[in-house]
This record gives sequence, structure tokens and C-alpha cells, in this order.
Amino acid sequence: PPEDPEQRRQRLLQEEGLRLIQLIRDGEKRDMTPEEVYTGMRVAGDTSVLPCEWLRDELPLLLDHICELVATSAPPDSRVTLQLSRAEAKQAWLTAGGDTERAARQALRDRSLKVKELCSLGFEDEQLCHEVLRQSRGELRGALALLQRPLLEPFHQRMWSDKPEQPIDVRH
Amino acid sequence: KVTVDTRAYPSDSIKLKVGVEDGQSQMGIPVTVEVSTDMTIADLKDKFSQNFGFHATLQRWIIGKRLARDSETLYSHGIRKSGDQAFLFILSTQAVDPLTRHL
Repeated sequence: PPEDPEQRRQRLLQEEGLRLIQLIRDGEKRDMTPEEVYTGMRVAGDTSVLPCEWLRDELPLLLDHICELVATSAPPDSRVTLQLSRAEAKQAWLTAGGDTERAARQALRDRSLKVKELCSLGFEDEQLCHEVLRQSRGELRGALALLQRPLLEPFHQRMWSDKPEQPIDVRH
Repeated sequence: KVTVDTRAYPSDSIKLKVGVEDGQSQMGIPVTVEVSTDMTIADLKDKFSQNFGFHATLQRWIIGKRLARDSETLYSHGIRKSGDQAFLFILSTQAVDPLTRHL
């Protein structure tokens, strides 16, 4: 007898769910997050390539492509070069659900917001802000540390200098 | 803030079958929970956290072919009636925080 449409619907929910669970479980063994596995699955499509293989072999190239899209999207008269880290490209790629063009736009937005934040904290050299964000892989606090460390250099120098310490006057 | 009138979303109360899995499970452990189809995934995570003790950040909800996002409803993922099946994948704590993985 033909399958009841309701039974079919419930059966598909179960079978498709189990399939995705299996992919996520395999992915976790390879240190891939469920979001990476899922987005890889969506992008790799129904080809016979497993998401984990696709993530390992194809994703790095795609992330470089996103970095390139962002670098070339700066206006020609801009004095700032926009170099994205792969980690930032991946974060944007996940947020954009695997859509490459959207990922590039997302990455650019995210980066610009962070540069704005750093500028508002007094670091107005935009090119430098971009560079430290690249080094910190998009992590704002890491970038801030990179910017602030040189400011503290004089303290380090004075700590280790040979000049005698000023005596402490307890009466003041 | 624009919100959708609750009458626009069907909010049937149903018994949802949940297969609980993790990185080591051979076969999922089935549980059943009473939910309403207009619940969001975030609501579901809170409910599971309270009832079963899995922190929301360790929960990943799989419904059919989709990894569901917090703001989405059960209804939007095709959950309609009692007996419908969703899956909960519990992350290993190592997986959640790669920075402490090697400690």
C-alpha cells in the first residue's frame, strides 16, 4: 500500500536528521564544529564529496577567494589595503550560510566596524588598525593589546634601566 | 520593534520526539518533550537546560536536513504534530572551547 504522506513526512524528518547527526559526529572527531560541517554540507551540495573532505580540501581556497574579494573591493583611490585573515573570512562565511558573495560583504562590514571601534579608542591610523586586526584574526581585544603594547614600552625600559631609583620620601 | 502577532503562528502543543546524541553515542537516546510549535530554538534550549541539565551552549538542534538557529521556530522547520522527530547533538566541552582543548 502506498505510504501515507504524513508517515512519509515523519520518516523523512527522522532519516534526514540522522544523516546530519552522523556527519556532525564525524566532523567533531576531526575538530570541525557543527556549523562548519553544516555549511560545508550546504555548499558541497548533493555531490558525493563528504562535507569533511570538502572542508579540508576546498574551504581554504574558498576562504582565500573571499579575502581576495574583500581586498579588491576597496575603492581605487583608497590609501588603505584591506587584508583579511582566513579566520575572519571563515567567520563571515559561516554567518552568511556559505554564500561567498555575502560572506565577503559580511567580512568587510565586520572588519570596518572593528576598525571604527579602535579608532574611537584613539588609534586613528586606519591602516595600522587593519593590520593588527589581521594579526589578531579579527579578535578585537587582541588587536587592542597589539596597539597598546608599544605605548607601554617606556615603562619596560625604565624598569630595567641602570639609573638608580629615586629614594622614596615617606614624608610626602 | 516589529513583532508578528502570535495568532499568525500556529501554536499547537505537541509531543516532540528527541533523539539525544553526542560524539560517542552509537545510538541516540530517545526522549519526549511537550512543546508548542511556535517555540523558538532558544526556548527549546532553555527548556532542555532546565529539564535535563545540558547547558544551552552545548546544544545543537537538528531538524530534518537543517541545523536550526536560535531565533527560528519549530514550526518553520516543519514540526507540526506529535511524533515528529528532532535530534539534539550535545557538544563535547573540548569542542566548544578550542583554546583550552590542549590543557
